[in-house]
Amino acid sequence: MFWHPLLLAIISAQIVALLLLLAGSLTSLNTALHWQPLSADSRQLSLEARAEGVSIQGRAAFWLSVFSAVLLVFGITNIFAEDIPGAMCGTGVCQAMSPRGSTQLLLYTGLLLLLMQLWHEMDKLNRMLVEMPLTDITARLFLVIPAVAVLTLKQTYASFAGIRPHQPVDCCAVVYDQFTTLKHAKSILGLGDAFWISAFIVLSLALFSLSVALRTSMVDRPGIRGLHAIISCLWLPVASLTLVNIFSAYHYEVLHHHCPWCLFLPEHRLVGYPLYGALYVIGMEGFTLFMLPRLANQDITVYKKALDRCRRAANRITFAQLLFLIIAILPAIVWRLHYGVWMSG
Amino acid sequence: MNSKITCRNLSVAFSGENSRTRSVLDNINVTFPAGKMNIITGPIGAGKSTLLHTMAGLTRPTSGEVVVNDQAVSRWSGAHRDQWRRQAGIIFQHCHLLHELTVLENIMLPLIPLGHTVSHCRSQSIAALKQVALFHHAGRLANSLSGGERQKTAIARALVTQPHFIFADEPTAHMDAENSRQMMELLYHCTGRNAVVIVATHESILNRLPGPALCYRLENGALNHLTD
Repeated sequence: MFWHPLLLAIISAQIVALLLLLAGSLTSLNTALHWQPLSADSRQLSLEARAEGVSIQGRAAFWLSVFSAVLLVFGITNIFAEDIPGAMCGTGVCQAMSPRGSTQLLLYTGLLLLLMQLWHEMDKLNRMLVEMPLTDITARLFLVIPAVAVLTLKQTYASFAGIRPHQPVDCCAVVYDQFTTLKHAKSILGLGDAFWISAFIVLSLALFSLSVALRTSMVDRPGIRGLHAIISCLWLPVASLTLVNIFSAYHYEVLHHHCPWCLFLPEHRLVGYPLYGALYVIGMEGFTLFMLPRLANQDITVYKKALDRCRRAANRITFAQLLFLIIAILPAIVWRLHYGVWMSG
Repeated sequence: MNSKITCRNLSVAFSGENSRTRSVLDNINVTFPAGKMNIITGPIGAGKSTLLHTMAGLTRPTSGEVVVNDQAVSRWSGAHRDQWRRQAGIIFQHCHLLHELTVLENIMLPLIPLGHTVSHCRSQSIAALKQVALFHHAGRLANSLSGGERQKTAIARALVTQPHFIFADEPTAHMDAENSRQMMELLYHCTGRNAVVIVATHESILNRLPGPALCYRLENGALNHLTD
């Protein structure tokens, strides 16, 4: 069993968030079943008052979940490695957890944040209008979240309980174990760097253009939103792969060090935080941009507000993408200018 | 602006001892028009204050709704309910002044959320103080005022924003006849600018009203129209 004060903080935040979610679930269930906005009877008015309470509880749970997720990433990348023999970065910590445990933990945490972000945006939209027209939909969405929160909490405990603090790990050596030949190291999924760089450039241009189009468009463009969602879904894994396999070499100044976690280390100026933070923002805002108008299409007023939110989401995606591009690519350009060649030749 | 406040099937019940509910207002249907003085009377504990507080958005009804300009303001959520409250001037039975502040500062308080400059807030508050003849007490702390003076300060605070809706709960309870008449005249003056003025008071004041009024009696949870 691995134990650390930061882990206690993470689990405590998750437990409090879960309690808040569970406390709001009963009201959300009643709201989902009995919501009748045209009636002004005592049950409906009581539901309206309690729905306001659930909104406050949900917002508190959302920020607690964000807080615990940030602590989790900070702990994995910069703190827990000190207590695990052989671990130097997050790779060692994840290795100590077991690869399946760490993957599940990150997936559940991401899924929880994704759902809570969507609920949070729906709730904000709902509270903008006096009639609160999205209350029943937000209540239904709210009911899904505690199940994911339970899984996240359980997985957090299971992952860290599985760590044996006296058993050394190989850390980044596992990154090199993935490759048997140099040719293998210079390709991703059997395709060479040139293909992935080309794909990254094309998708980046497409995402940037679509985001700008959505940001500046004064009319509803559901087709562009759909295309934006598809491009986002393609851009995110391609950007992650090119970052880890190609651009990270210029940050590490070592050829073929394909470790995603070392970017978070102070030796590499903590660039992992803004880089993965930008990916997180693009993922969350892209999801919001695609889903929000679909869920808020019952009422024309709320739909217009949703479109305004989509424009803001497109704006944030543009800035996050620019931030990502600058931080990811700038060292490569500096290297090229300084040495006259790319690192890969 | 020709506003009105309508109560539709408005009921308010409080949970009492042994988890029994006590019904205070029972299915009230009434419209309070603008430009007229609306007087609500009734015995002690009849629910006059509860009715005013419910209309002003301070408490939620158990069922039914308060409708202002076709908007069910009693069902508005958090931030929107604050917007409704800012349109209303409320004179509380127990004044609720901030005792550590001066009379002038107390009166300036409702102007702060409206985003006016300090000098504008100050000049408007001084004008309101002059209306209630308390200008010479502007710099005194609220806790040094007499009961009647506190009520006058509370009236000035409610009227300083020139609200379209005025809810007055026993506004002259601690005043002598002359001051009471002056304050009622001031409230009548507000009807002249088409505000909805609703005053909850004792029946004894009905004979001393300085003008015409729509009178209602609240008893056993029901509101009955008395006479014009």
